[in-house]
Amino acid sequence: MRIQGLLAVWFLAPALGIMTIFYLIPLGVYLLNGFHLFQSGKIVPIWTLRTFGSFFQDPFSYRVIGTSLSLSTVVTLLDVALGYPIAYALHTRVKSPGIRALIGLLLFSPLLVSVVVRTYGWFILLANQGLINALLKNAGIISQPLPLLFNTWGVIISLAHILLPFSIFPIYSIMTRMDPTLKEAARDLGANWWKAFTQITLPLTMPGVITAILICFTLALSAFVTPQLLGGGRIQVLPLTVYNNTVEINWPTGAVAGFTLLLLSITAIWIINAILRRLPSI
Amino acid sequence: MRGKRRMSYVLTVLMLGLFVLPVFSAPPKVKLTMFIWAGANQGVVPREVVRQYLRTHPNVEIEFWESNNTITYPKMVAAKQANPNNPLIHFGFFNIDASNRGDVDDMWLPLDEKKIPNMRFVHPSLRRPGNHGIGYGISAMGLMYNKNLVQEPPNSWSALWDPKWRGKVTFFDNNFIPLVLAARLNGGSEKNIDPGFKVWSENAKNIRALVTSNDQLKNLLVSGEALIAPWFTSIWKFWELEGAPLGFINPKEGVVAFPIYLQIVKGSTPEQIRIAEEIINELLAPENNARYARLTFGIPSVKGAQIAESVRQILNPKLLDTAIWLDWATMAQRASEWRQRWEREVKSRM
Repeated sequence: MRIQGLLAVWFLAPALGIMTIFYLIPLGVYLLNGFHLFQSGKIVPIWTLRTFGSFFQDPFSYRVIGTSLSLSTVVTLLDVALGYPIAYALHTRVKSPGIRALIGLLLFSPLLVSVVVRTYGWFILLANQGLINALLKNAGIISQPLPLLFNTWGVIISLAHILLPFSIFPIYSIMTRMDPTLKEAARDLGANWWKAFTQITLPLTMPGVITAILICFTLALSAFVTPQLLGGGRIQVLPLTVYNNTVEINWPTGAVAGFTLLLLSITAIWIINAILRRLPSI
Repeated sequence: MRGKRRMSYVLTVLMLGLFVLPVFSAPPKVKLTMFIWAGANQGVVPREVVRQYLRTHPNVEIEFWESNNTITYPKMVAAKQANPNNPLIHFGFFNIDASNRGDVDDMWLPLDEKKIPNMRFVHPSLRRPGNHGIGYGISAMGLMYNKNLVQEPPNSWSALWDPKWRGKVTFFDNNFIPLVLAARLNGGSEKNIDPGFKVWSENAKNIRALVTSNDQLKNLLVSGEALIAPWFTSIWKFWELEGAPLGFINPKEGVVAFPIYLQIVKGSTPEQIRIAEEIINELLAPENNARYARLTFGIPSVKGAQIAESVRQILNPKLLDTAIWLDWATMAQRASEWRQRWEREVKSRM
């Protein structure tokens, strides 16, 4: 049934109301600070574009933007590379619904734990005196601990783990909607597994892959706790710039950084949606 | 006729209920929010004093806001921007950093000594300009280290940027005390911070990690990821009592004095201000001030408040004679500019 007209407005009204009151208005009020100035520890409430100007003329801002984008890209690629085979195996190899549900729960479990707890868990694993270094040292593989914590790699590993379910489930979901006879027909017509996979399965599951990319990329781009806790101050990304400036009451710069973050996320969503529209639907 | 009489009787009773009874019912409660620090016995004395006050003032309701100044202060500024006459916090505890930032933001009300008579017993060095707050105690910052892994603990602040301690130092991300100390010990000051940035940018690799919470700091030191950190005697003592293998050194250049203050926030109503004044006066009673200092391992601000032996053992008041007193007013004004430089010149070289 298609809901149209006034009825559709009524159906959408609660969600739109909540979004407007609790998201759009506070966000707008905060972003308006970007048009003010910060001088001598105080916000100067004059209308100006000088904060935008100084932010975008500063090479350091581009470095932070670059770190944010590259970190999100690596995490996203890693998650899709890991998530696709897991989703594929879950769909094609695990026959028992009970075991499938159990594996699904296991894969979903990182999302049931607070991000702070998960991040501290990674701290225990990745530290110089942590489990991974201790195992490698005891096995005689390394003599000095590997630098896994308080650098880019620690943040990438942890973020990729946290966001992995967001990659697996959209891909798995699209696989379950695939018509199994298509693959069978390909095999009947003489295609081997690889050919059937590359010409049937992969193209038809691309919408799931693109959705996974969209979710992982935007979440990684706005990740705050993990870069802060596991970066140890070395990883400077846009959400941390927003936070640090907010704490320092330098809301104008925080707002400009927030505006930039929002713009990057919207651009990513727009590009990915454009790709999605060109893909075949199942 | 009888029906009409009954109706008028019912209406009279209703009118009485609507307009007369509320006059005799209890007046609405005056509500206030008091800021206290979380953990380390910080809330014990404020809660006791407030509980006692509420017993004799049943029309008052006080809610405690338990957090730290770093997180809460920006929220107070946001609330002030939204409505200056409806502050998020009405009164409470603020460290010297937040107190000075509050001066810049016009956050505090001047305290009236006539209404808070116990203010006159507070040590002169802990009075604030214009009575914008009143001192409640002093904590001190020195060098904390891992006792198991550091055989010869450092005795100078310069250890923080000494190449001998490469990758072994940790401290709070928003803490500019190490920066100012580096400036002061290398010919600079709060007003001439460049020497501090030079020292730290050349020795940024000393920093193992910058932390954002006490738990993180403790974890890093106890696990041996980092070996030394500048932090407070009071917090170190709590961790030591918990069994953490941490030692503490008062650097030869002097500990950094870190006063704490009681403040009333602008925008509070006259009734809220009166209640806050009464509670602050009670907190400043020598017995309350002494008990707070004993429980939190600090030095009391009120003359006549006894310093506990347990506190003397770790923080002798004589240490304050040689303590480093930082220019927090300048630091509050420059914090944002320094943060931007810190990210570019130090964090990017860690």
